[in-house]
Amino acid sequence: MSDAADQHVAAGVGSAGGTRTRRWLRTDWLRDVFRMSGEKSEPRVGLVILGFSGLFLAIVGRLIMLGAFPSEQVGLRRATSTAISAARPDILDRNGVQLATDIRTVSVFAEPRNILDKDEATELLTAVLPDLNAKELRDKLGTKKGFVWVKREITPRQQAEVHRLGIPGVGFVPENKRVYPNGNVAAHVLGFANVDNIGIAGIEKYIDSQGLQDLNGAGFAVQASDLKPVQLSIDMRVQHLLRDELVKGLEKYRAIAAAGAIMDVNTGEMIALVSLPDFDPGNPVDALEKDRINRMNVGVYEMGSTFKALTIAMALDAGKANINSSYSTAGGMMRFGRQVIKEYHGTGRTLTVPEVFLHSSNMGSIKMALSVGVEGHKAFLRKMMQLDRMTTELPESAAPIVPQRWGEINTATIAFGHGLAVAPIQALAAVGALVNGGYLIKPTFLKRTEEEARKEAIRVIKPETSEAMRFIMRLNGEKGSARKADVAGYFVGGKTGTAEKVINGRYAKNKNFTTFTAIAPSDKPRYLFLAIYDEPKGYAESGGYSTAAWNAGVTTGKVIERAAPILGMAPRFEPPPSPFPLMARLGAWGSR
Amino acid sequence: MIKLLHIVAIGALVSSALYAYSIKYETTLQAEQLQKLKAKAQREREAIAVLKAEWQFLNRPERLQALAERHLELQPLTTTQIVRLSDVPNRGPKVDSIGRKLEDLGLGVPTETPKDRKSNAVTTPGGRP
Repeated sequence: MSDAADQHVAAGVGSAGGTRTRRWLRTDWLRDVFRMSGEKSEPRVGLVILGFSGLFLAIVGRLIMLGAFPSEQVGLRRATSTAISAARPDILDRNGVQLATDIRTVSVFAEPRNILDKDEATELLTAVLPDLNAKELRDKLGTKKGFVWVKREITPRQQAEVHRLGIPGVGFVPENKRVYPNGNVAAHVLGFANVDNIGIAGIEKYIDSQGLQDLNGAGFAVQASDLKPVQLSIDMRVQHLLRDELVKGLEKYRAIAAAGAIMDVNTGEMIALVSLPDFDPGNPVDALEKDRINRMNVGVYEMGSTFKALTIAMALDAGKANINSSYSTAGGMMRFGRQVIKEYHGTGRTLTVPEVFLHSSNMGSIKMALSVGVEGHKAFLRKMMQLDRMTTELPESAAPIVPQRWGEINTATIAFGHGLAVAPIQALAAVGALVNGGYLIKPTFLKRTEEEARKEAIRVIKPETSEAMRFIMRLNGEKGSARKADVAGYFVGGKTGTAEKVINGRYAKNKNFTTFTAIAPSDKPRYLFLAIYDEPKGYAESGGYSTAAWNAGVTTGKVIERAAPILGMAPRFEPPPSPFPLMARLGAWGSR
Repeated sequence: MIKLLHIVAIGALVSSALYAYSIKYETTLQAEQLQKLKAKAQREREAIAVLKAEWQFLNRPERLQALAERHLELQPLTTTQIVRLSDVPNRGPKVDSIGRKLEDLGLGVPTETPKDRKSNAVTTPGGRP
């Protein structure tokens, strides 16, 4: 080796001139490359650097190519993984009955680049799948895409037929299809998922917002078996019977819409929620029509006399009235500037607080509200969550319509339920707080225990006020307008509410919005029932009346009778010994 | 001696290679089997999901109510159909209705046992011929 090095030195010295030395140089350079000695191997290092640089440049170039022009030739697996519908968790009711589940179906796709004769493929496919649009399909196959859907969710029989066609470039991929075995029954609660299994409305959308879509987006292949089922507070049996009664009522009272709900007043769980007309979540073609909205959450209505309960509770709780206070209704009307408010069921005499509720006296309620004052009224309603949008798990919600300038006249009308439009579920939460001992609990559609509910509950009124409210509601169920729902044995209390609808800015005399709120059992309420009809008409037995007692009241009575045994409420044969001890001690009107 | 050692070493090499190959082959086989079983379990799970959905579809309350109204003579429970235990009347005094019937027919006399038959040939109840 050292010889060679010496030779090289000699050659280097001698290379100053002459052709012979030049040829020497060339082989010399090659020899240098393979030389083992360290200090003489720069050319070799150079060659290595050159080689690796070339290699890395090629890699970088390819990366840029891939990044800048996403190749359409990426594998089928990748193309389908972003297109096929993701798995969703099952949805169960409070007893474990299936409300929504995923089943496996097959979809047909095509790779237009691999289809040789596109016209023939179109012809064959439309022959087997007759509901395909031939022109659309031909256009789809004419593109240069690597992956297009031919038809989603086909039947096994259609799959066999397409398979038999044997068209190259047409294949199948298994997908998840969302099914709702109960049909329309809980449509508004469940909402629905689209063909890609993405939640569009209701609880389905809520599930997505809880991180399911993020997981899918990040490329985690989620399997149905990995997902924990979502358990709702809905009881399927009660949900069905509520809907059944409302459907019958809608027909009988010729109303344009109906809604109903049952809430557990101690946990805030919604046991049932129905809004009619509804839709089939499995085929939600008409779900987005205007009259299919969820009237419980999205509709805002003037709740009418139901609001008198809030007014009375406010006056009692503020200490501006007690159960024995009395209010004069002489004259039968009150004047506010140019506006005149009349009594609907005029008595003309002086009424005690329970009588104000029983006779649904507008004047009594107005006087109570005014005794608290405009600001106090506003603050109380805000505390009862009547002035802000109430959000539940269901993504659909509506903000109440609150008067822009809230004067004395507004307090006067809101006192008896006109001039403030709220979502019925809001009113439901407020009435629940009035009767459950004074805790405002936000309604939920997920199953929970009483302890969990208590953690979030806010005390809004005193327990004594709550007892007074239960007392007057029971009195109304016994002697007042809520008699229609007084199912023997369940100690039902309730309040009717009839509001005239506003048509073109004026209250229409013959178009009513009726509500009925009932509690059972009144001494220690467990459930709150609500039924609503929009524009019900009078019928033969009602003598032409279309007020709440004759439609919403009757329906609520039937619902309580059917639902109580399912909800585990045992009928009692004599009224509880002393249901309202405080009221009896105070000697309230009607307590003896 | 060295040669023998070589032969032993080569033999061990070959046999270990064979053993490794057979293990590998078996592993592949087992893996395939596992994959098959997994696929089968997945198919079963899917079938169960379909059956569950179908079960609920057939058991949906709407359908059950329609069927019950058509085929059963049952009515919804009303509170008037429920009574308290204390309202249930007490059981009356015990009456031996068969005994009373026999008495009325004049057959109340005890029948004769086979032991008595020797003394008296008549075996009909009440000693009738």
